[in-house]
Amino acid sequence: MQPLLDIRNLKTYFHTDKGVIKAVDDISFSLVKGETLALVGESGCGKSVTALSLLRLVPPPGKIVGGEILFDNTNLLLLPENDMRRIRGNRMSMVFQEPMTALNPVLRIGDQIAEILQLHKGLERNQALERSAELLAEVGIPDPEQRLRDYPHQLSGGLRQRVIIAISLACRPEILIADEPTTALDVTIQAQIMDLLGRLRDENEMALLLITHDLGVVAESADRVAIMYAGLIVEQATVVDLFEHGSHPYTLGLLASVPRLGGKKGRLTPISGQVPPPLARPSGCPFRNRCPEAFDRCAEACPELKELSPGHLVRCWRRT
Amino acid sequence: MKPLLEIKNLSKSFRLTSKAPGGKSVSLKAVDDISFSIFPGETLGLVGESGCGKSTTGKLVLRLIEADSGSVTFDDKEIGKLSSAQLRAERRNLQMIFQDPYSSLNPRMRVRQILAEPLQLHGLDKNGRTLQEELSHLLETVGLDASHLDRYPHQFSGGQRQRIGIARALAVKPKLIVADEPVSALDVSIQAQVINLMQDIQQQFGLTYLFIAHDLAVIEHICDRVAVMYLGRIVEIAPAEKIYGSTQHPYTEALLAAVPRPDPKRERTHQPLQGEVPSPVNPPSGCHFHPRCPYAQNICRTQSPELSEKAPKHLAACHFSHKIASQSRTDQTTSQ
Repeated sequence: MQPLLDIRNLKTYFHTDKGVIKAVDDISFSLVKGETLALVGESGCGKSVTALSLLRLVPPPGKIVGGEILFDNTNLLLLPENDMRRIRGNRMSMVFQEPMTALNPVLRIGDQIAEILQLHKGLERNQALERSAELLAEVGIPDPEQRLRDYPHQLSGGLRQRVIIAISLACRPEILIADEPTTALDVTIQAQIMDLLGRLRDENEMALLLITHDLGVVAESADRVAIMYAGLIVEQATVVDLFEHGSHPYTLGLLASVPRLGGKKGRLTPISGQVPPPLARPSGCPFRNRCPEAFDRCAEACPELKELSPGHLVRCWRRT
Repeated sequence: MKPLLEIKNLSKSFRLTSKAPGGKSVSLKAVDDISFSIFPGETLGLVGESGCGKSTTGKLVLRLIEADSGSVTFDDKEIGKLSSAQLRAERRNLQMIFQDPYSSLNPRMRVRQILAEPLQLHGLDKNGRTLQEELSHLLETVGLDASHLDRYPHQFSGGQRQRIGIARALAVKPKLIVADEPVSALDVSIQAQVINLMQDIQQQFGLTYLFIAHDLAVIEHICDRVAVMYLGRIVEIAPAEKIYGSTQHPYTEALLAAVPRPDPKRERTHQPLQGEVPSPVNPPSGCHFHPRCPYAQNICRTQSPELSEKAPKHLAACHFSHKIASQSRTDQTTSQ
C-alpha cells in the first residue's frame, strides 16, 4: 500500500554554543492509512523532536538539516510556510503531552475548539461552537454545551486531555501525532484515553503516530513499533515481532528491565550505565558502551538499519 | 512480632481558601481515618491515583506536617507527642527519599556537603579522615564513585541524582525509609537499576520501607504487603500476592485491569473504569467509589463500608467484596 506519510533520512540538529546536538540523526519510516506506529525510547532519544519535525515546529536553535517528509507525495520541507499552516492542525495534527499547559488558560474551551474550525473550515462562529459541542460529546465529555463555557482550570487532567484530543480531531486529520498522550494521567484515565484514540482512529481511518516510553501502551495499541536510541531508529518491527522476537540488544534490555504484573519476583535486569549525553556520544554504535554484546567492530562504525526478516529492521553488527 | 511503625485513625484536612471575592474556604480531607502498621524489614506499598492522599500519608509518618487526629507510633514512641528536639533526634531513624531527583538536592552544595549534612545534624560527623572514608563508602554503596564527592548535582543524570538522594537517606543509618515515588521520574532502564539498589540496601542494612507509588507493576515487584488508597481512605490492604491474585475490592480490580501489559497477544477482558476521580473537596457519599463502581447497590450510596477482614490478613472496605472474589476466581479458571 502507498504510504500516507513517508519520512526519508530526516535529520534535525540543534546548533548550540557547545556543539551540534544531533537530536534526530537520519531516520526513515512510513505510515499507512489507519495504522498505529509507536515511536518508543527514553528521554532524549529524539522521539519528540521527530514529532515536532513532522509538523515543522522545531524550536530554535533546532533545525531540520536534511531529508524529506513526504505527505501524500508532497515534500513538506519544501512547502512555503503558508501552505504548511493549511496542513498543520488540519490534515496533520498533534496531541501534546502535558494537558495542564497545552491549553490557553485565558480562553474558554469552546473558543479554543471553534478557533481551529473557523480557521481551517471557514465556519461561522455559531456553527463552529455547535460543532465544538459535538466534538466534546464525541470524546466522551459529559454536558458538552456546559463545558464550552468553562476555562481550562475548571477541568481535571483527564478532561483537559480529552479537550486537546477534540481540538486535534476537529478537522478530521489524516494523521494524528500523539506525544505521550497519557503520561501525565492516572492509569484508569489512561485506559479511557487510549480506548478513545483507538476508536477514533478506526472510525476516521486515521494514521496514528504514538510517541511513548511505556511498553505496555505500545503492546496494547500499536500495529508497528520503532525503537529509538540517541537519535537513531535501532529496531523496527510489527508489535508481535518486537515483543516475541525483539532482536536489538537495546530492545531486549528495555523489555527485560520493566517489572511486569504477575511476573517473577527477584532482581530486575537493568541496562547498565546510562544514556550518553548528546554531545558525548561514543563513536560507532551509540549503544555500545551499555551493550552486553559489544565487540571491536561496534566502535569502528555505526551499523546500518538492515532487514532481518520482512518488515523487521535492526541496526546491530551482531545481527546482520 | 511487634510492628516498627503503627498508624491509628490518622486524619489530615487542608483548608483551601477561595481566591474569588466572597468565596468561602472549604476543607479537603486528604487523609481520612487510616490505620496500618509496618513490621521490621518489611516493605509496605501505598498505591493509588493522584490526589488519593498517599504522599500526605508519607509526610504525616515523618511528621513533616501535623496530623489533625490519630497517632503515628514508631519504635514504641508516639511521634506526634515528641518535643521538637526529640523529634529531630528520632528523625535519624526515619528518613525519606523524594520523587524528583532534580529538586530534592541543593544545587549549590557539593555531593560531599549533601551527604555530610545529615551526619553533622545528628552529631555523627567524625573528623577529616574517617568522614572522608565514610562518605566514599556511602557513594560506593549506592553504585557511585568516591571521585564524585566534589561534584555538584547538575553534573549528574537523573538516575545518579536519585542514587545520591538514597545515599543521603542512608547516611544516618535509619530504620525506616519513606520513599515517595522514588522511581517514577526515571527512564525504564534506569528505573530497574534504582529498584535493584533499593532492594540490595534493604537486605544489607535491614531497612523497612514505606514505598509510595502509582505504578502497580513496580509495587508488586518490590512490596511484601500493599495498601490501596482512594480519596483519602485505605480501601484494601493485604499481602501483595493476595492484592494481585485475589483482590477483594472493585477499585483494585479496576486499577489492575487498566494497567497496559507488555504483551500484544493479550486480549483485554475488562471495560475500563468510567468517569473521573471525584474531587476530594466534595467526595461522594457512602462508599467514595460508588459512582464508578460496577457492583454498587443502594447501600453503597448511604453507608461507608468498614475496612474489615475478608480473608486471613486480607482487609477490604466493600459491601460486596464476595462478588469480586468469586468473579476473579472464574476469570482465572477460564484462562487456565
